[in-house]
Amino acid sequence: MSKIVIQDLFKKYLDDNITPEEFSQLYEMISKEYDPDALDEMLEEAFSHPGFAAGSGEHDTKEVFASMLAKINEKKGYETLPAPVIPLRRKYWKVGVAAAIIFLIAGGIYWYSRKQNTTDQPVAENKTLKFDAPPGKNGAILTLADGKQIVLDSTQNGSLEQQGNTHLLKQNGQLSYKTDGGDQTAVLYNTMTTPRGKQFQLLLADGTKVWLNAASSIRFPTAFRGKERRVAVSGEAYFEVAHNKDMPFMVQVNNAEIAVLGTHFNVMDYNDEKNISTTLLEGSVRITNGSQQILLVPGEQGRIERATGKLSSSQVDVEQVIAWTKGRLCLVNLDFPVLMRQISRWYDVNVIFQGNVPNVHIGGFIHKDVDLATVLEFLGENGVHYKTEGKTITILP
Amino acid sequence: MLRVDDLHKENLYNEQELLLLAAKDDIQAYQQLFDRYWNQVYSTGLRLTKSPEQAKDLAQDIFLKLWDNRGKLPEINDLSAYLYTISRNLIHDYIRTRIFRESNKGFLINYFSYNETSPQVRLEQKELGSALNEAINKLPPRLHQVFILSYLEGLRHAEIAKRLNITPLSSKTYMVRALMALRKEMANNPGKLLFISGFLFALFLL
Repeated sequence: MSKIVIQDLFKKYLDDNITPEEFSQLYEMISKEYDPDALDEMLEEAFSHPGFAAGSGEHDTKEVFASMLAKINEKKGYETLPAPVIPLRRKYWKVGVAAAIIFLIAGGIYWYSRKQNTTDQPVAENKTLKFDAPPGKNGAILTLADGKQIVLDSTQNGSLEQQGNTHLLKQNGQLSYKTDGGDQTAVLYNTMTTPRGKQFQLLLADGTKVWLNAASSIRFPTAFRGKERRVAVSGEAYFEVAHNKDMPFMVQVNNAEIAVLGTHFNVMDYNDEKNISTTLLEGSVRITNGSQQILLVPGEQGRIERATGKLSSSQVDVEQVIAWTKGRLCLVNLDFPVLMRQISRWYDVNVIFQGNVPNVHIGGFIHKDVDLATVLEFLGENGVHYKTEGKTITILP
Repeated sequence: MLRVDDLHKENLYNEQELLLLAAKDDIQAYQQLFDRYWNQVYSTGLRLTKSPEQAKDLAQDIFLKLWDNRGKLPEINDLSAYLYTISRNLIHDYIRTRIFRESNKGFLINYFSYNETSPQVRLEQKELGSALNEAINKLPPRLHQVFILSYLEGLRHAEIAKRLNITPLSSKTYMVRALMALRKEMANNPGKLLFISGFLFALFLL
């Protein structure tokens, strides 16, 4: 008798057709006395006919498979197989590996770090790391409308120049523009440029926030007037655009134009990368390149292939794309050369490949306070051979 | 050396060939099997766990089990049925120890109490009050995304699912979790609760 009851309830459970009271009842029955046989038939039926398909936005199946592969390799203890994708769960990490890299699971809930196991490697303590570079700090160069340049450094805070009716206020890693109001005859443009190894934040006169990544620049007016708000970007920037439906926000990237009909998006246009990309987090954007046009919804990335000018779009993990704005270098699902270019910009070092590119596939997130030496050590442990000389890292085959 | 990206080649083999290759440790062939059956296994997991993360874990464990048993693959005619046979114990384990357990009970009760069709007063974000807004902005990205689309843009979970390319079930679980997180956050700041709107009412009905 109770077997039928539990089957009935469980079916309702599977179909999302159960009331909270019935669920409590089911819960009691399962907790008290679990009879697997009672549910077998139903489970088997459910298994063969799940009733719906999972979307590609649920999980990145490539990553899931890669982390599964890593577990398989670990179990077998293979040493000759290539560097596995770093498993994103603590219980699968090897003991005794020396690295201080912090990983973040999508959703931003867990922080893990691996500690150096000094008993395994007594020599490591005395090892002097000959090559090191501090990670990206806040710093940029601001070029005013009259050509004058100001070096922005995290040590100087307070009011900077006044240009026309606009005041500049600097506070740590952020520069704010505030307009007094009143008319100006000419619109003044400023350019902020970050070198490799440095990032900066900008608060434009309309309240739009901009995060500028390393080796990037943005050209913008000190105050917005007219029918639209227009800026130009090269490198990488993340925007949180202030709402103003009377003055649409336009970002010019190379020859393409991004019209912002909403709020939060990331633009990436590095000369040495294959694509120019725009990733939308919230709101909507329309990308125009020549005669091509694409409208993005949140979670999508629009890409312009540099070589062909072709415009396309797809779903991406936006958290990975904007990890840099939160002080994390994201190295997930990257080709090794792309990964090294990220490192080159973040740490301001040169990277040369001598011979073939190693067939390495690793991934994870690195916190901005992790030194290059640690990152290189980690690469070394995963099969990458390299040598360093001054500011240059040479990757050996 | 194997690169995960290289392995995704479309339908070059029929299933029988893949089973044979996988039995001989061919990871590429195995990945093709994985790609073909992921949806089915994961979706079942979703129905069972009401959690995208748990479903992923379960599916991954099942595929790991399949790999462990790859020696038997060449004899298999119905991979679907075989998958269930080897996962049976795993699934029962999950039901008993992970899904139907005390720490998950609260979420599941909330999940089954949630009704997306109940009448809601849809407020502009600016009307929600700063404390609630703060709480909303603290939500983890996925939860935030679904919450905004549901409560502030009024989309149903079927529509949200299409937009984010997930299942309506997942959209619903994220929404339930978002509401639970908001309720917890607001409960921690009782002094800031200046008004009860239709929205907040629904929040406390969970």
